[in-house]
This record gives sequence, structure tokens and C-alpha cells, in this order.
Amino acid sequence: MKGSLSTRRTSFSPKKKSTLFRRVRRNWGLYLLLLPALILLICFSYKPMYGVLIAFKNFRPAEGIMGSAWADPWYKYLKKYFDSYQFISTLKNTLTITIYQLLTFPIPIILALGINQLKEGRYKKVFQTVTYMPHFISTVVMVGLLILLLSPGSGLLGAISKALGFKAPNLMGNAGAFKHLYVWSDVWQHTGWDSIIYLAALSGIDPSLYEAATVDGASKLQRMRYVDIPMLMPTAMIMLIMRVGNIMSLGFEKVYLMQNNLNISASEIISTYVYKIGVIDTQYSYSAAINLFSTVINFILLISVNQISKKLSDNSLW
Amino acid sequence: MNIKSQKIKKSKGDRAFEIVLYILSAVLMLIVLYPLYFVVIASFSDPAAVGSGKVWLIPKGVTLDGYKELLRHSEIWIGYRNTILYTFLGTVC
Repeated sequence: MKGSLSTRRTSFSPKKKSTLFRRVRRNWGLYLLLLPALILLICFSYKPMYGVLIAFKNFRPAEGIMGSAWADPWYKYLKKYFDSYQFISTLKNTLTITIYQLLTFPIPIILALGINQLKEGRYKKVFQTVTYMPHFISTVVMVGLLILLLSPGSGLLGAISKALGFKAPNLMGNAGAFKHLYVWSDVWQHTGWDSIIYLAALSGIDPSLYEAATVDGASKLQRMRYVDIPMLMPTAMIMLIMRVGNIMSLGFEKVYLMQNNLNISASEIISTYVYKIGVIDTQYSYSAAINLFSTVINFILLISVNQISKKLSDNSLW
Repeated sequence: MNIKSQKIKKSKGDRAFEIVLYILSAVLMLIVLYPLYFVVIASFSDPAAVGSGKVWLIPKGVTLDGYKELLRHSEIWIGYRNTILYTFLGTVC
């Protein structure tokens, strides 16, 4: 909008360049409305960002961010992380869990397609309410539930395996099972809720498309395949990009709560490691460097997925 | 011919699709509901019965001991107060 406005203006008078200042003066009312958001962003997002400097300094709280001496060499803490034995394992765990989680991304779409096919009425309403329900359980309670249900002694898993006559596995203490537990409990909890946005997109589809498809003899499955899915693609792409956006900031809370000494080799991810290094061991500079590294990777991933999506499907965030 | 049969007849495929859909949705509902239900009945049951896996569909040895224990902890109430306070202030401000 803004771009097209300014180009039209310059085409009238090619010599006058449309500078930011000129644009602000012309539409000052609109910019005034933008101002509070801008101030908020500067105060709470951009101003604190200079604190990332401590990743390159020997930060001591008494000397302050500016007062602390530069690390020697400036990339000392980044190098320390790359050289540490935790580097490969934290990176690997973070990526396995996030990519695994990203692969479950079509599940809410499938659920929404299914709900859309149910007949309007009580059953549909009950089904929707039931599938939303777990979303409102807090993370702590969710992990508590997981531990309760999966404990080999008591708990549901123990009871089932006893009934079937084999020894219950200790899933919470199994490093190999961690990623499955994490991802599938998330699916259990959030699929219903995540499907709402797709249901909204589905309800916006022009009914004449279905009518035309029915007249052409399309079965229910074919209507789903050739009407519903193509119409959902734009929403799905945007949702995918947004999920890639926080690929590295994988839910810290839940992983931290699910950690124990037995599964630590699979459950130590970058954010929990940063927490332990930075907050518990108070090595501020080192933890800032680790976090900076993961943020940079995340940024690159986000931009590339956005670019790919723009090329392939004309959908993008910017 | 009565009015009913004048409606477009559902094909066999569509019929099968509907049946599969309703069965799947019922199974899904069960998967979502059962763990939640289990927690509720476990909270009312005798801890020993829960521990030995005897609690399945109905609570065994109904007690309110768990809840009595819960109410004795003052931390719970402080926690609730803080939660409500943060949520309220965080939403209003």
C-alpha cells in the first residue's frame, strides 16, 4: 500500500524523492497512531537488545554491561561453546525434537478436515469440546499427568502391561523414548486447539465450490482432496512459517520439567542448558553466547523457509 | 416414490467414509478423555488401589484424603492468590 502510494507520487514528479520525512509529514495522523506501538517495541525489544553485548565481554554484574572488559578474543565464549562436549549433544537434541515436532504439523489439518465432515449437531459439538479440553491443562499439570500415567509401578501403563502380562517399561527414564513422549503428549494436548484456525479457514470456503464438485460427481473424499486441501494451503503455509520461527525456542518449561537423570542425554536442549549455565551457574557471558548462537540459527531458518514458501506458493510473512 | 428417496442417494464410498469417520472420531475422543478421567477417579480413590493398578473405570475405596491433604497446605493458597493476581494485573494493565 505504502509502496504503491509513493511510487505513484514519484511518477508525477520524478525529481522529488519520496523520503521518509516527507512521507511522515504527509500522513502524520497515521504515524501518530503507530507511535505507541513503536515506543513499546523500542523500549522492550530494541533497547534491551544491546545487552547481547555481554556475549562478547567478561561480564561482571558489579561493572555493568558497558563497564565490563571485552573478552579476549571477542569470540571466546562462542568458541568455548563450540569446543565443549555439550555442543553437539544439545544442538542435536534441540534439532531432533523440533524437527520431529514440525513433522506433526499436518495432524491439526487432518483433524479439522474430519471435524468439518461431521454432521452439525450435538455429537460434533461434544467432539470439538473434548478435543479442545487438554489445551487448558497447564504445562506443570500436564507433565505431572504424564509421570503419573506412565510410571511403571502404579499408573495406567503399569496396569495395562500387568494385564497383558509383561514388564512395564520405565518410559520417563528412557532416553530413547523422550522425544516421542514429548512430541506426542504435545500432539495430544494441542491438536484440537490448533485445528480451530483451519476450521475457520474451512468455514470460509464458498459453498458453491462443493455444489459444483458434487454435481460433477465428486465423492466426499474427492471433495476433501480437491476443494478443502487446496483452500487450506495458504493458511497452512503461514502457520508452518510461524512454527519454524520458534524452532529453536522449543518450549523450555516442558522439557525442563520432563528431565531427569536417566533421560538427560536426550533431554538436554539448548534452552535448558542456557538456563543451567546462566541462571544456576551464573556464567552470564557464556550463556548469552550460547543463546545468541541459537537465535542466529533460528533467524536464518525463518528467513529461508519464508523465502522458499514465497517461491513455491506465493505465501509469506513479509 | 416418496419424498425421502428423491434425495440424492449417498454412494457406497461416501457411506463407508462416514462410518470410518465416526468410528475414528469416537476412538479419538476416548483417547483424549480417558487420561483426564483417570486422573479424576484416581484423586478420589484409595492410594493403595491406584498403586496396584486396580482403579480402571470406577473409583475404588472412595476417600477425600487427597483433597484434605491439599487444603492443609498453605502454599497452595498463596500459589492461587499469586496466579490470580498475575493473571488479573497482566490482563488489565
